Amino acid sequence: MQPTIATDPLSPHLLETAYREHCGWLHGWLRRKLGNAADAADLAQDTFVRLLNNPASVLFKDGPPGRGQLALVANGLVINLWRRRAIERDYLDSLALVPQALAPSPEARALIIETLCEIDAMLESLPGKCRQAFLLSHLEGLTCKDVAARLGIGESTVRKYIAQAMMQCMLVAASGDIADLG
Amino acid sequence: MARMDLTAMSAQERQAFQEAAQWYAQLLDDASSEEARGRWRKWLSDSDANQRAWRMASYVGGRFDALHDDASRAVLSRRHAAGRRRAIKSLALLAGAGVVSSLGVQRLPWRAWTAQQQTARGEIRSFVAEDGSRIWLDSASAVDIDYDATLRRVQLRAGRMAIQTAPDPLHRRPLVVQTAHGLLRPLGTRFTVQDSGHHTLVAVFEGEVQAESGIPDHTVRIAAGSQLRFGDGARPAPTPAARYLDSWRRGDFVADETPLSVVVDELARYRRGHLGCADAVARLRLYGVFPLVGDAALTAISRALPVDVQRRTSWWVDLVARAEVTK
Repeated sequence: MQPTIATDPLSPHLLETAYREHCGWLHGWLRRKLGNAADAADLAQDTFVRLLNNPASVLFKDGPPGRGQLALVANGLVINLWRRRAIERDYLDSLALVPQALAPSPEARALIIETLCEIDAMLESLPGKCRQAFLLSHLEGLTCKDVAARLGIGESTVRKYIAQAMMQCMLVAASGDIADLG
Repeated sequence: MARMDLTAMSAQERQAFQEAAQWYAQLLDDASSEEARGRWRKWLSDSDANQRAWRMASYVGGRFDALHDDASRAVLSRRHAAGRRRAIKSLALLAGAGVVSSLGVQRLPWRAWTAQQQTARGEIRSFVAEDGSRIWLDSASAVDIDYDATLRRVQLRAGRMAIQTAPDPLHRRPLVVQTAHGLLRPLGTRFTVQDSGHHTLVAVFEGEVQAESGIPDHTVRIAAGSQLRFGDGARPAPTPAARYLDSWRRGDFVADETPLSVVVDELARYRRGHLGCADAVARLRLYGVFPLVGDAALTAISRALPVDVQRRTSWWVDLVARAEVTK
């Protein structure tokens, strides 16, 4: 996302080597996990694209990435895909309750789903009470005082939780470990 | 956006993140005194790291603001609130009486600040505006966002931006992008705008944009896949859009038989100091995808074309014709 840290680029030929040696295997591994060839082919490509775009990755300081490392990246993408599918379904279900005239356009929907995936990934890393306090203030629009009353804790504790939650979300956002920041 | 390697995060940056998170929590819902705001402004001006951290906090907070509708909030409640009770409540609320949204969200104190966004050299950043439109800001660029009850106005102050517009279903306000050389009216679209000093360059990749150059009766419609340069008094017509005017949002330069002089001008946007190329190699054509930030593109170019990277100092770099190898 924003702060840019200069790093040595990954030599493209390391990735080419890995691609030649493991692409078939990765494809099979993904197909077993996902149960369909089209998604598997997409994610196998995405795995290499991600490695190419993320040369700072600590995964392969020595030599081309091996199967274990590819699987680690691919697994993250599988989780993202599942997350996206679940959120998409859930969102469209919720939307079915909105009067049609007020429903967002398909274009706006795509943006909202993208935002939801991003936020979902950020929230996942939060411990229970932090998440609750953060959601009450950011989703339901309660003031810190109201959040404190709702959760039966002090206002300074609420602010402590929100700061903690914010820090976690910032780290997740900074690591780029969310859908795609553009 | 360039990814950040957390293992490479310095202690200072981590500290700045922590402090930004604390300030965020303290300033939330405006309960803080003017004295506290003053201390926050002082903290913000203390270092670049603090400003970067604060932008990150604003970005995260802004992601939540982008969700105005009850349907998306119901999704997050179902997935994250403790127990299912709250989710059911949200759904009931949603089903009732066609309420669009309970926009009871407080005006957060940092909004006025984030309405003016700018980037450092080498930084590419995106954020979502209040209406759900997404804006990408290129290296060393600045933009003011000013939405009121009737109009969504985005002013490009410097550099380059791209925007994916959202339709604003709640208020149906038109959106305009203003530059020093004219006004752009997008129609459901994604496009890049660049202020190049003497003129404005617009490249449209989705939908259509109407450009008003300030010359009387000179309005040009720019369709997807076209670009237009205006503002120097001429009455130009659109030409095919260069792909790199879209790919920069992802931090990539897409060269498509592009002259080396153009590539060098683009890469120079992201660097401090001077990056140039000798006349002898300026018209060599390049093909491929290169990262905009960092030295990787220069290395790749010196492999693809017969040019050498000549470093006079760390900030003065020229691409020159490859020297003959002598024994």
